[in-house]
Amino acid sequence: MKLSHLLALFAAFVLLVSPDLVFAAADEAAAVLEGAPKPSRLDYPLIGGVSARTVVWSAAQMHLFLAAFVLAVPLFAIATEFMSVVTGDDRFDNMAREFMKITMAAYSLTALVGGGLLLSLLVFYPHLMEYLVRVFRGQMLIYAMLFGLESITLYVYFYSWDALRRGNRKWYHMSIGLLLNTVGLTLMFIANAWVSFMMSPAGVDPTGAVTGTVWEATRNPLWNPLNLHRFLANIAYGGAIVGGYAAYMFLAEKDPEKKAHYDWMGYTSNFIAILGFLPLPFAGYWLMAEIYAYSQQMGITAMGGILAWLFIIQAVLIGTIMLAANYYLWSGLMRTDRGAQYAKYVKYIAVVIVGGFLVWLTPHTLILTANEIQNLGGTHHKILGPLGIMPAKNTAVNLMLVFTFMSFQLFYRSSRIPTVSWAKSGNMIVVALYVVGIINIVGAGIYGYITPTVYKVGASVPQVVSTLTIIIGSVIIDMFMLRGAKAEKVHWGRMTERSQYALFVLPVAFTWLMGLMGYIRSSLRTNWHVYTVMKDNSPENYIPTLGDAGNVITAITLGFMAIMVFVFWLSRLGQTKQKGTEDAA
Amino acid sequence: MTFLRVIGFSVLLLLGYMGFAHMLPQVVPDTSEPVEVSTEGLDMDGFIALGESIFKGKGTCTLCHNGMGRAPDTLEMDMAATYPARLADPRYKGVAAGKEGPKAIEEYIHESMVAPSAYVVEGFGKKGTNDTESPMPTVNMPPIELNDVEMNAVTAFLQDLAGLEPTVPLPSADDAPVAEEPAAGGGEPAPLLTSGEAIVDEYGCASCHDLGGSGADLGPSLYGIGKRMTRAEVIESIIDPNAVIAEGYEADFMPADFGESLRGSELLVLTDYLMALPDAAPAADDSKEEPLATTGLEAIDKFGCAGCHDLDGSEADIGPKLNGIGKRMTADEVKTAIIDPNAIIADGFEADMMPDDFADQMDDSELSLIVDYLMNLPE
Repeated sequence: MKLSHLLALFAAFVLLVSPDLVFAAADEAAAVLEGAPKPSRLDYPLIGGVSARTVVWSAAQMHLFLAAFVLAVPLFAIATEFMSVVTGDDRFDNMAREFMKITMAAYSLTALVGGGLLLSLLVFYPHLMEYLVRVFRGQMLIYAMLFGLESITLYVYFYSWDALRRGNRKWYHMSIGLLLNTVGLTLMFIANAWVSFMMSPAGVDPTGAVTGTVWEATRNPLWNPLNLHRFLANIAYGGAIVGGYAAYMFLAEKDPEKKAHYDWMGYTSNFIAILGFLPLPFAGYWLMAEIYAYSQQMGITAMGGILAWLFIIQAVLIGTIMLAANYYLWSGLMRTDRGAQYAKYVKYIAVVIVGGFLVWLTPHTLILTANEIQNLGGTHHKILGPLGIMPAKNTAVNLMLVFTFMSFQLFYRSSRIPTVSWAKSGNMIVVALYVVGIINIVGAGIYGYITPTVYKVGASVPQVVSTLTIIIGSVIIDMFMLRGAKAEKVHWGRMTERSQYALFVLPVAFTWLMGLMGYIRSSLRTNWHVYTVMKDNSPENYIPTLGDAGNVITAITLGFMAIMVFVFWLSRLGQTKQKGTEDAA
Repeated sequence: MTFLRVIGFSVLLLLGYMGFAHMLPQVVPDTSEPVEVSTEGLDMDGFIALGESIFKGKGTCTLCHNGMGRAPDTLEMDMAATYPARLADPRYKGVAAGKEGPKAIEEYIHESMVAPSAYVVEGFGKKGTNDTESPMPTVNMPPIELNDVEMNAVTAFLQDLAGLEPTVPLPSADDAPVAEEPAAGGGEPAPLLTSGEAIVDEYGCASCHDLGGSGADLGPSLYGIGKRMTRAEVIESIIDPNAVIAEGYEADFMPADFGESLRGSELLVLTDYLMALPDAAPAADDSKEEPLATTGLEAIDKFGCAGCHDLDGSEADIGPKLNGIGKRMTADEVKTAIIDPNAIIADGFEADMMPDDFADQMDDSELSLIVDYLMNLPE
């Protein structure tokens, strides 16, 4: 790379970090003393009885679904492309290309919906937009420029696939992919800065007057937790959608060879989805801990106040995702001849997963009526109440993650017989890792009950460390132990139709879950556009009921599914050739 | 077919999630506009009550000051002993350091609201700050935004809680009004009630107390209450009904959450209304002289059945649920249960709870209307 290129990249970085160095110098003096706008109820445009909130909500959520997919697939693609280089297996490369083709169709729709979101915000919430532009100034221009760069790198990455497929050229291609992902993630981080600023404003005084740099507003307390959470969630989401596509193709195909290909694609996608999903609860936990640290009120509103029931729905959604992903893995044991010998463990894993699901589902601090308190015999249920608090839930989540990883490990082991001399000792170490780790998780959970509230949070750290130790330790041991292992044939395509429906559960539940979490995140601001700085005085400044939110989320999810069906159809249309055209040519 | 099966499966799953969202309790939002209530002329008892209402409501203090361990449980602690100990703590360097007495405690409480980090109780500081920084928000800043009158009311309440005579000044005509914000939640409008009659009607006081000619006797008659109790005692009886039990009545009978459900101004308006009630029900209030009900629903409303029975969502549970009663009892049994309520006692309920003089209060036509109405009530 030439020096001029490096300088250009550095300049772009500086502009991103602190664009006010260039853009804000002239008007900063005027803006510094001006607080956030204070629109009255009458200042919000009313257009023909249209619900402004529902329009903006739908556009924002749809844009997020599409953007998550469009950002996730290139991540997915570069990882699988890398796998093709490492393993020399062209299937990975073909799969990555196939999915980039789908992204091409989804990309323009993402931009279209993003434009709709911007328009609806400008029309219905002009004062908020005016304020956000004042705070983030030139960064919004950087965003637009990066969007252009994203488009260029995306097209170059896709269309150069075959031209840069072999030898050293492959590394050039992957470098373009890396640039594409870097730009994509930067775009996401910038958008996250605006959203997190609305929750935990920084770089402004209590009246909302801009006192800091754009970088200070960007680096607000919830920015990084949100970045990590969305990054991991995007990986899981992309994997889940690709898995859903593969499952559909598996069911639709009659050709056994193609069926085998799509079965393999479904397995790989599910693996990536779980890989992104496993650390997600920890990222979510960090985000919530930072919310509490920023504002206890906001944290309590979420976990113990009017939004508390939402987390019961979240538990149901994540529970179904866990059960579906595990069911798919268990079904996969039939692909190998040795799978049956591992199948006997499935029932025990199922008990842990279902048990953990039920504990996670148990509510604790909820708003109750006098009658409900009377019926319950207190504010908490006498027997089930203790299962509702964090030590029990943390224990349940960690055990569910450990046993989900175990399901994956069983399938992986079923197709490989270790040949190293220390295989027996290696297996014993893996078993010991599980046993000690599980004892530690349960023990820390029990400790959480007998320690004051402030230390309960601390008790979750050894649980997370135990879970990660089991997973990482097992992967490392397996890596060495299964080197040169005798590979058993994997009968790709030997799967039941029912197992493919488990793969559909993932994208549907993930999409609905993302909609729900968007509703929660936005509701945490209660009746503030920008928390504590700019009040929302619009007629719809209240938190909608759970049922109403469920209706909107379901409608948006259905819309997204329809778009995805259209995108998949488009990509297949591109492969279809009219009969006889080849002959004619 | 595969396409349709997959779409059908996915849509069913989505509808399942949506249905579950509807099955859970719906927290209905308050969409009413903020209302400003004048505090002019309020006496100290009313001011203390207002302070309690703000403490538990707009101030959101009980979100953390409860038994969960996030902040000192102010309502349960012995604050009479705690305040002097805090002032004497060598770690306390605030405005009241080295001082004693109620005025110093007022300064300490006020400081803890406007500068929470001036003194952090051991073990309650932000993580990693060694109890030098409080996680408590400054209450006169957003999002809580209490004004001076509201903070004084909270101070008066906290001083009263510690058995001290409040030292804060009562609000004057020049002071800012108390801003009653609608609760952050979600859905149906819940307008602020501004008359005693409306509040009594909304909360169903006459279902258990003799009021407005209801003749109910599950709780003491409210007539003449202004002569039997002080204003503060009436407020206490509403907020904490088990604190003092009138002779001949039982504890744990009256709902204990009125302090949370009534807004501060509503509590004051209700108290003033009750204090001004005459010694006995006026003759005009006698139900025999009310016009006869002409429909079952009118008769049900007139005799306040839904105050004790769960009827069309009233959720009262002092008596058995009335929806679906036509499937459980015959018309004659329902009639008997009204005029002689102790003749048949449903499982899980006690005798002598329902007034046994409906035969005297009701016209025969009203009794028939009620029985017909109840027999046709759906589940």
